[in-house]
Amino acid sequence: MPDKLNCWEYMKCGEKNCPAFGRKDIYCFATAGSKHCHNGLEQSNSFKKCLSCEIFKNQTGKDSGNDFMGLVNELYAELEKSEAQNLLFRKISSLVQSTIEIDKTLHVILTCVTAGYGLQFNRALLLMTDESGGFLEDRMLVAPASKEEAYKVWQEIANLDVTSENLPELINIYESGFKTARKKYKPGKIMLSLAEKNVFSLCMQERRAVVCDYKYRSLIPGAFLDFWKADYFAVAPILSGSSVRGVIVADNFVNGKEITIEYLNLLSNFAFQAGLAIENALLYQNIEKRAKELEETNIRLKEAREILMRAEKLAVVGEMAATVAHEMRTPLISVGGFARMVLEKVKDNPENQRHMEIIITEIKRLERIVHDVLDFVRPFELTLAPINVKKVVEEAVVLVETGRKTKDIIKMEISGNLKPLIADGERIKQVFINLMENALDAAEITPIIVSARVENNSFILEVKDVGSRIESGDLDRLSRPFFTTKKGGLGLGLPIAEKIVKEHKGKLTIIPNSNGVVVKVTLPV
Amino acid sequence: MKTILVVDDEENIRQLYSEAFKEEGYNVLLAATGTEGLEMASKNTVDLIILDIRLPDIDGLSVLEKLSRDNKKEVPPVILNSAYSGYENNSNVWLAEKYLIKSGDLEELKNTVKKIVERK
Repeated sequence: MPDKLNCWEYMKCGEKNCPAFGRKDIYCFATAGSKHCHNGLEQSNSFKKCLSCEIFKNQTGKDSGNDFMGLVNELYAELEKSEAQNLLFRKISSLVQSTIEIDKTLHVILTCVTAGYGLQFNRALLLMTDESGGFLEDRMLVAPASKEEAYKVWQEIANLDVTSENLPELINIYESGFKTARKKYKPGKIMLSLAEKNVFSLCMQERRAVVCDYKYRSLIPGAFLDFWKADYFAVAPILSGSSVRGVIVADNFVNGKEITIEYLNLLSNFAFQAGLAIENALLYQNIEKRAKELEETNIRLKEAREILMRAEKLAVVGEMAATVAHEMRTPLISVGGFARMVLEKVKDNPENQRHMEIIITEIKRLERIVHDVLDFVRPFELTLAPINVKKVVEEAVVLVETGRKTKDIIKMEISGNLKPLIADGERIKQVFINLMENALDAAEITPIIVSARVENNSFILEVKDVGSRIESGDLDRLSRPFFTTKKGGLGLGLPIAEKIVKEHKGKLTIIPNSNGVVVKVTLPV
Repeated sequence: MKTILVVDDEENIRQLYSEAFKEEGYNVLLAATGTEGLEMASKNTVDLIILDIRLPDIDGLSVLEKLSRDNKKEVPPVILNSAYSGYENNSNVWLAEKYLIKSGDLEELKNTVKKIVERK
């Protein structure tokens, strides 16, 4: 081919419309003229063709006296690499936005940091802050176990075009290729304090990536050096909102390649993506937590509603019982009164007398029920005064024992110099009566023991029995009005006692033990 | 013969008390309302009043207060007799000799009446 032949001369094209036609002062590839030579291809693509064109070589090659060709080739290679990195970046970006599997995303990022067409680092390590924020812990490592393994894997991916849709394929090659290293590595090998001044804490504080080399050896923690076994590496902070979640450490321990500022910046960008991934995952976790909380609140609300409904039902039942009791009271008094009068008059007829006695006994029972119901539903005001608990208990014991026609079946363990309790004496007496009646009805072995003491600023009153049993499942229901296991009982004894204790701002607890039951009343001093 | 005045709006209760106390040897006067009770107390010589609290016109506690304010006559002892507890804290209750919850068992009422009347 003759020297310095211009394209229009060489091609003999006769394209008079071409801007390069007929000119000797301008190269065809520098003008739009190439459009005509290469079937109307776009400039950027057609320029690629120029690279292999004889005219181009002739005019720009070493023989031409300027090494323009060499420069262009170099630039072109750079362009291709950065295009590849760009694509990889975009892929990672979309991956980060679309996945909530934090570990998987972080693994992809580390893989890309070390991928041949990615950042080309030899290995990458992820360090994350612990929950307290005071320490850095290693979480993930992507690295070959040896140089042989590294070259084998890199050879394999050398032919793989990472810029296309095959990111998962790349990761698979890495995962299977670096199997031995993955097996050997378990997270949690190192723990670095962030309170100390070291290369990692500085990187996180200043929120910028750094290249660490032997000059900064004093800033590399010993624990890290023992693990990493190299003092030349790059560190990039993982930023997530206003906080720093950790760092990515990467180096070229296999080929010893220099870490340029350009690669450091790229690493920084990858670390930024990792930060986004973590942020996303945390947001998702937060949403999940909130959803769970909402669910729990919902359940509690449902329970509360059930309790309310039960209470309402109970209130209605209570009101109805009170109305009935109220209406029954006066007629019962006259029926009872006349019945007793008749009884006096039929004492000469044993049969009539027996019948009247039954009538009177049954009336007494009815009177008791009416009294209990009205006592339970009636709101009452407490008449507070200092009371002698021992005296109150003694009076209650007399009443209970007289009613049962017994003696000494209730034992008292109350000190004579117990300090006075500010309470409504009559009401507290009622509490003791009800608890003692219950204990006597249930206990197999007497005596039952009534005790009182002061403990931690509280008055503790206890009624203890031996031999009574509470069926499993009944414990919760014991204080419910109208619950009873007794034949002929109304189920108001314990609720009334509890109501009185509550009015005194105290607490009534039923404690079943191995040989009986203790009812404990705690009242504030 | 001692005279007892029974003030109660329930006819059956009046009947019961009347028979029971007549049997015990008392002269028994009956009133169904508070006003009626006050009137009978002022017109007759009464040794004791059994006074219900819930009455249709003026309640027993007001009757008690009115009796006490009437200085013309000596006020007879009063037994407040209600089917309900809960009046214990009312200051007028202290004007009565005794506060007894109504019951079909008249023993306690009879004993109390006897004690008060005999003391007089």
